[in-house]
Amino acid sequence: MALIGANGSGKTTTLNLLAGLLRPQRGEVLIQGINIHTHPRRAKLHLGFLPDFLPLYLDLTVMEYLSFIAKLRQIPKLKRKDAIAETIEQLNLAPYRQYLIGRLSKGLKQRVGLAQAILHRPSVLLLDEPTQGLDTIHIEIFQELLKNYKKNAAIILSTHYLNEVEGILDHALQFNSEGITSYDLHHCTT
Amino acid sequence: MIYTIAQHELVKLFKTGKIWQLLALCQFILGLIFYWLMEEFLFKSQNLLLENTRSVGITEEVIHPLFAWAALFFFFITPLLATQCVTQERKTHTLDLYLTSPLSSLEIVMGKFIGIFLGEIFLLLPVLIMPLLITLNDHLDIGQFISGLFGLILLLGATLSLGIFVSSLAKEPFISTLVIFISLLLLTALEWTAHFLTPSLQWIAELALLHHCQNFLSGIINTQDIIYYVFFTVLFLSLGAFRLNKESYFKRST
Repeated sequence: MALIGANGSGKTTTLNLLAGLLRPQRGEVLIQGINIHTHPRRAKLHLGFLPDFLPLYLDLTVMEYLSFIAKLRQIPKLKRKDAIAETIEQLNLAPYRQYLIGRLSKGLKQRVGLAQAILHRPSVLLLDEPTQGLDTIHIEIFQELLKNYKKNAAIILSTHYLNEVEGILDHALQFNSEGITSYDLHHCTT
Repeated sequence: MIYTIAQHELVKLFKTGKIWQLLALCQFILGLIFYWLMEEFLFKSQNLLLENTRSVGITEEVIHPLFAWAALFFFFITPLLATQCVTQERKTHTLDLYLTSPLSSLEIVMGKFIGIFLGEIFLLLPVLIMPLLITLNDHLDIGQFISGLFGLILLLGATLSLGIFVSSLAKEPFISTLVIFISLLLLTALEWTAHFLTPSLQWIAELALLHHCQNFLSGIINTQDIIYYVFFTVLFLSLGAFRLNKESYFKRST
C-alpha cells in the first residue's frame, strides 16, 4: 500500500503510528494481529521500519552497523551472517561494506537505511519515502526488491511519486485536507 | 540483548574518539593534582621529620584527596557521556532503531548504562596507576585504597544513572549536559547547605552524593552508604526506563 499526499498531510505520522513510535488517541495498531502498544516486543519482531530521517551511526562501517542491527532485531546467531550477506547483495552494497557510513553518498546511506529495515525479513515493512536520494538505476533495483518482497510481506510506504510504485503495490491512500481517499492501483477505482 | 547494547555503546565511545580525548584530559588534570598532592605530602613529611614527630600516612594525605578530586572530575565527564545515551540518539534519530526493535525499555537503559559505565571505569584505570606508583617507595594502605576505589565506582554508577534519566527527558544535548551537571552540583551542595539548617533538617545532608563517599575514602565500608548508592542507581535507572517506555506519548511527529 502506498501513502500519497502533500507535505504535512500526515503520511509520516501514520507510519510512525504503525511503527509504535506514536500512540494513537483512538483505535489500535495491530501487527500480525498483535497490538503494538500492549505487546510491543512480540509485535516489533514482525516489523521493519525505514523512517524519513535515516537512523544511521556515521562512525560505524556498513558491516558493523548491519551486524549490530542483526543482533537488535534478534536474528538467530547462526542465520545472522547469511542475512547480512543476502541483504548486502540485494542492495548492491558489497563494495561499500567496509566504508564508514558517514563517508557514503546520500543515495548509499538511503540503501543502508533500507538494508536495516529488511535485514530480519519482517512480515510488515514500513518505508517512509524510500526512494529519496536514489538514482534511476537504484530506484529500479528497489522496485525489483519490492516486487520480490511483496510475495511474503505487507508493504506500506509513503511517496510523492506514485509512478515509482505503480504496478508493484496494490492500493494507495491519498491524504488531503478533505480526508483520506483509497485507490485500487490495479483497477484504478476509488 | 543488554550485552549487545552495552558493547555497542562502548564501541561507539572508542570509534568516535571521545574516550581518548577524555582519557588524555583525565590523565593531565589528575596527574597534575597527584603531583601537587605528592609535593605537599613530601613538604609536610620533611617538616614533621625535622620536628621529630611521626609522619602522616601517604594514603590519607595523597590517595584520599586524589580520589575526591577524581570524583569531582567525573562530575564533568558524566554529563558528557550520559547525554549521548538518549538525547544525542534522539537528536540523530538512531533512538528509533531501539524503539522499533523487540526490546524492553529497561533492556535499552541497562545496556546503555553498562556500556558507558565500563567506559568510565576505563577512564578511571590509569588514575589507579598513580597510587600504585607509591608502592614502589612507600607503604600504601591497600584496605583504604580498595575501599576508596569501591566508593568511587559506586558514585560513578549513581551519577551516571541520574545522567541517563535526565538524558531520557531532554531533547537538546546541550540542555541535557547542563541539567545533569547542575543536578550533580545541587546534590553535592546539599551537604554544605545542611550547615545553615536547623538540627531537625540535618538529614538533608544524608541525601548528598559525595557525603556517602567520604566514609569509603577514609577506608570505612558502611552498608548504609552502599544501600544509598545502590538505591539511587536503581531509582534513576528505573525512572529512565519508565520515561523511555512512555516515549510514544511525548514524541511528536516530525
